[in-house]
This record gives sequence, structure tokens and C-alpha cells, in this order.
Amino acid sequence: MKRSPTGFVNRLRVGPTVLAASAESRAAVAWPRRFGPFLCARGGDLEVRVRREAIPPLGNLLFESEGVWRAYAQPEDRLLLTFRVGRRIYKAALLDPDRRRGEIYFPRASRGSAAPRSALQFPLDEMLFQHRWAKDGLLEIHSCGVKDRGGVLLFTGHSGAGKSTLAKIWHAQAPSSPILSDDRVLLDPRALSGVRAFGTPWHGTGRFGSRSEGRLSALFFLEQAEATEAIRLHPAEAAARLFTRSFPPIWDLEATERVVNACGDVAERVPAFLLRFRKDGSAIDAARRAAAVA
Amino acid sequence: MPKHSTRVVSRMVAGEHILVPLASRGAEIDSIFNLNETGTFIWEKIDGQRSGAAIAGLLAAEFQVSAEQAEADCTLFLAQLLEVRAIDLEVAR
Repeated sequence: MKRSPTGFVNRLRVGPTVLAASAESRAAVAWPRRFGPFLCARGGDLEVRVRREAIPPLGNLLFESEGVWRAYAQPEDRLLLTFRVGRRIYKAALLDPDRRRGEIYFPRASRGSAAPRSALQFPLDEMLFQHRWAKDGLLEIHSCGVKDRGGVLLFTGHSGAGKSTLAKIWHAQAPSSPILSDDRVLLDPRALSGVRAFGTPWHGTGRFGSRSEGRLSALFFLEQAEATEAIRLHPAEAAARLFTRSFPPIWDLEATERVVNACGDVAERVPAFLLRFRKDGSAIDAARRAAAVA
Repeated sequence: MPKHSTRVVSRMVAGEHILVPLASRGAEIDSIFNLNETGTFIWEKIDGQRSGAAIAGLLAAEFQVSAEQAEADCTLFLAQLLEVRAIDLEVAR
């Protein structure tokens, strides 16, 4: 974290993108200690400023997450993301049309309040990246990524599908294979040379998250089963499955088109499999065999 | 006349279309559709100009099935697309 004329700046690099967050106080732009490997000193593809001011008027509701956040339309294609504790909105991010610049409204909490001290607390930090990536056609995927034999194998699935389980098995049986993350991996399909995969700081129950990266060599959609087998999927099936494991701003036509196209591009360039797996080392062998044959 | 909805995104992937309706709630996000060869053919013929009957005629010629079979398949598929709001119907003037 650096001191600036107006306070402090903290920068987080995930894949090719740097988020620079500034505030008057150090605590307001702090990330958890485990994010340390992702902090950096320069850059700012995304810049946000924390303001200790009241939440602005909400505008028309665009999306109800049915969780802690909502999205509202603002004039001139700006976007307001709000975050609640109980029924109270405790912070909001107002983003420009390109999702490159924004203000975070983070009113001071009353004494004894359970509101966090950092304005960047999950899921806002991740969502700032997601909205920018959607504009660029990058994909964050709910997945575990493992760098193995020169490429990255991606194991995707919803919560409970076995991503962290598989990461732990892999780590125990092949400790020389770095694990990019056991919950979130960023894919960049823009380069002609191949789809790049990047680790992220947002981990699962296995707490794996590293800055490793590599060329994506195979995609696996996880299902836990009694016996392990890898079944090749048609690219259209893979693209649809990949989309449901991404995090698109799905109320936004243009951004959704970019995300769908990115899913299609990845699925057409990288072999994809349904991986039914038993909770033992057989999944490693099956994934390696499938990736090698493909 | 059926036409593609402006609230759906489509993409051809290795010869088959996927359709993604836009959503306004978290529970709607997993609504995504893979079209088979026949579905892809019909989807590509929907342009706001052709009627369902005209599309069925093209389907019968392309896949060499009877007119009745093509119309039944086409009507069912258009109804499904309408149900998931992937198409709108415009009244011919």
C-alpha cells in the first residue's frame, strides 16, 4: 500500500488487470493478508475511490442477486452496485460506462455496527474485476485450475461439485503441480497462441490461490461418482456449461454477448470433458489421459 | 411473424447454437439452451419476415420430412422459444 497526496492507494493484480483503490484511510482499502502475492506497486486498469459519503439515489433495479447485492441503472450508462447487511445498504459502487472508474460510497458505520472496515471486502472487490473483464471478453470461471505438464487443466463445477476436494487430492499426489485456485480461475481467450488461465486470490475451502498462469489445455466439468471416467463433450455443450459457471452481468446485453462469445471461443479451442470422479487419485490419471489424447 | 428477442444472446459453437436469455434475478441465471441441428436450422430462419408456416416449408425441404411433420416440429419449437422469451411474435401488416 502506498501513501498518496489524498491518502492511501492499494493495488491488486489479477491476471492482466490491476485494480487501484484509494481512500483517506489505510483500513478502508485493505485486502486480507492472504491476498499479499497479488498486491502490486503500479498500474490501474480499474480505479476506484472510497468516499465516506451517503449512498446515492438508487435508480431503476436491473438485477436482484437474491443475496447481498443488487444492481441499479444510473444516468449515462453508469451502474450502481449496492451491498446490504440485513436490510441496510452499507456500501455502494458507482461505476462509469466502461467499468474502468468508480466511486465507492462507504458511510461511516455507527458504533457497535457489524459493518466491515474495508470498503473492498468480498464480493465487491471481485465484482469490480468481473464487470471490467466482461467488457474485455475475459471469463472468470467457478473452477479449480491446476498447472500440470506444461498446461493448465481446469475443473469446473458449482459449489459442492468437488473443486476443493480435487485440489487437495492433486496437491497431495502431485505437489509439483501448482494450483491456480480451488474456486475461481480467470480465462483470457484473446490471444491467437491459446487460451491463457490465471490464478486468483478468491479461493475455496482448500484455500488454494496463486499467481500461477499458463495455457489452458483441457476443460473438465465435475460430477462426483462411484467410478472415474472422462467423457468428451461437444463444444456447444461445453460452451453452455462454461457460461453457467461464469459470472456475467446478465442484465447487460452487450456484456453478456462478450461473455457468451468468450465461452464459445474457449469451447471451440480447448477440448472439454464431463469428468465423473471418485474421491481418489484416479481423477488425476483420467484427466491427464484425456488431456493427452485430445 | 416470429423474430429474435432483443433480450436473448445467441452464439454458434461448432455448428450448434446456444441461447442465453438475459435475466433480472439470480435464480434465472442457469436458463441456457443448446439447440440441436433442427433447432439451429429453425433459429437461423427466424428473421421477422418469414411466418412459422414458411419456416416449416424450408425445414421440410432441408431435412426431407413430410410437410405435416415439419409443421408439427416447427410449431412445437417456436412455442418453446416463445415460452423462454427467446422470440417475439409480430403481427403481419
